[in-house]
Amino acid sequence: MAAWHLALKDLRLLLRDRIALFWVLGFPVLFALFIGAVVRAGLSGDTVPLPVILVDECKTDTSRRIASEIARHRRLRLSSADAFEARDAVRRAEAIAYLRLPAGLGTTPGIHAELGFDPAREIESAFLEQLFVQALARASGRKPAVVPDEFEIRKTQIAARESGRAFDIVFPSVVSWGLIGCAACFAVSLVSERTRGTYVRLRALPLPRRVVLAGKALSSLLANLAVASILTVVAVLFFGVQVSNPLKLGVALTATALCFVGITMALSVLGRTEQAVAGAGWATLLVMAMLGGGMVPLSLLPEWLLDLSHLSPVKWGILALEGASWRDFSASELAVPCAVLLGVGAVSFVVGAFVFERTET
Amino acid sequence: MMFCPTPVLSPERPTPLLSARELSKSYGGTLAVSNVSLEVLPGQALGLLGPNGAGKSTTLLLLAGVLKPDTGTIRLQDELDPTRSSVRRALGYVPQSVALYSDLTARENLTLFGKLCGLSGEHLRERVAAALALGQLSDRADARVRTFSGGMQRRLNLAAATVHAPRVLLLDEPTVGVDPQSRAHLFSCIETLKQSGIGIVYSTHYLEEAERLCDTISIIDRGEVLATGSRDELVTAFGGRIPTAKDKSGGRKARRANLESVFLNLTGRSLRDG
Repeated sequence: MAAWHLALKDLRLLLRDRIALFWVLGFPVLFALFIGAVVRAGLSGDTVPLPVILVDECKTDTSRRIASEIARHRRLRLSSADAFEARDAVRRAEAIAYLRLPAGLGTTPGIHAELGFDPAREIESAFLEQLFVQALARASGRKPAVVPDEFEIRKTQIAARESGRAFDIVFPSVVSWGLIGCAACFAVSLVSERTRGTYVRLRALPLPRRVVLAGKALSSLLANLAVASILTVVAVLFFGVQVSNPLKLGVALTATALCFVGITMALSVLGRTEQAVAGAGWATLLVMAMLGGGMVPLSLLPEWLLDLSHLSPVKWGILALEGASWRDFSASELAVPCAVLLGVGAVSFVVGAFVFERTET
Repeated sequence: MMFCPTPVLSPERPTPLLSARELSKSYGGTLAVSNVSLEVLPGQALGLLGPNGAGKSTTLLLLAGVLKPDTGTIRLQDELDPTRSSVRRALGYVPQSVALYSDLTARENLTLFGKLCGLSGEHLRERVAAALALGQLSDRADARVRTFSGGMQRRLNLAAATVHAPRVLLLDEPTVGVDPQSRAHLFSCIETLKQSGIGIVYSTHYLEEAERLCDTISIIDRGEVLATGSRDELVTAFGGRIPTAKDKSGGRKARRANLESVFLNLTGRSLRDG
């Protein structure tokens, strides 16, 4: 009976803490609806068409029929380019693959179609391979199940290095998750300063408020950089990840780490207690990770969610780290995601600091 | 003798270390502090005595520069801008809660607060040692604060505000939840600090603490200072006679007034439930 009374007490307390109630009941429902929308879009094919490039070097009736067969598929958004442009677009993650139909295809032995794909989109590339094989078969007048030998497709990973190791692809996501953990932890530490009273003590010292907040931001940045560096060293030493340009990787890691400092500041004002900030912080970061492609491939998102994904710093963090590691971004290409990360970080920090100041005592 | 909310300076009195004139602060539509004026003299303690929610902590936060007053001025060491770092170094603030880093040692806490106040090198080490000695914590200097008893944490809480040798110390109910031994030690620390010339503002709702430690007492309620004076001055002016229960013959007797009667006469007998 005593256990029953204790349980009722806990439930009553939960019902009276509206913020906690939201994170216990409201947020899981919203998250379930979100996952449901993603899964339904994936199953019904109601996702954004995959951007694919056709490189027609053959210029024959057969190649035009192949193009026509592929263009008919509603899950593809087909465009045309030359081989160099197509390869570059896939490298920059603007297209997920290209299909190159070289001159002499179907007539000259040893000439094969080439499927160049983004190594980060391996799953979609398998789907595309099947689709292209069927298109080639239909265009040559065969049954889709029967693929003529001359229309065999060669697959090529478009990356700075041909190794295409799995951990190279996963490494940016791993770093993002490390920084997400840091952000959640430091957001709680910031609100702890308030609940323990140490923040008021610090404010009573001969220090401007900006110095106190700068101290918290600096500790958060150093922790972020330490986590990112440790994960990079582990990736290089134990998983064979190659860092071809340490300077670019350093820039991408620093931009991502700075962005998460700002996010930490913004998360710290989502609640008045450690529990509230921990719950709200993790929930927000999970949504960011999901929208940013850190949990499910972006190609599975319906169009309206894909638009929202541009707001997720996780997406830009992953792109910057991929660009600096295996996508071989140029300096100007790397500048775009890094600028977005710094912008998101700065805005988040300013908004968080403003709200923190308004609610500091 | 001062019974008015606004203290009057006489020419022979020493220059106040800290003075506030007509401070007001409201949160939303609620007036937390209204026209509070006070001054702190060297080597003297001013008690802010009031019931829960009277505005004592808000007044201290205004004096400490943590909150900005809506109206009024604060003069610290004759400077009109107490937000300046050089001026704020003259101030030490002891929060109501134990505001320490529990996973740092006592020495690490004191060193941190000393560094943040601009101390360094040998001077910092000396000041940390002095603060540890003040709190009688020298033998536990390198133990983590989370292993301390409540009384030890309270002593360190006070010591942390003295590490940079402030001229004025603001104490917000520093004895909440401590045992009689630690309380006696805290009193002795505060008396030592007074003797060294430090001016003290001591917020409390314990009458005996105000009587024992404070040279001047301001009775504060609903954000307003109702009266200011020494214990004897307040008792004379506001104590009256306290009626007791009827005696055997059915007559009433009255006992002598004390600070409690002053407090109840000024702030009323109704419960403060919020």
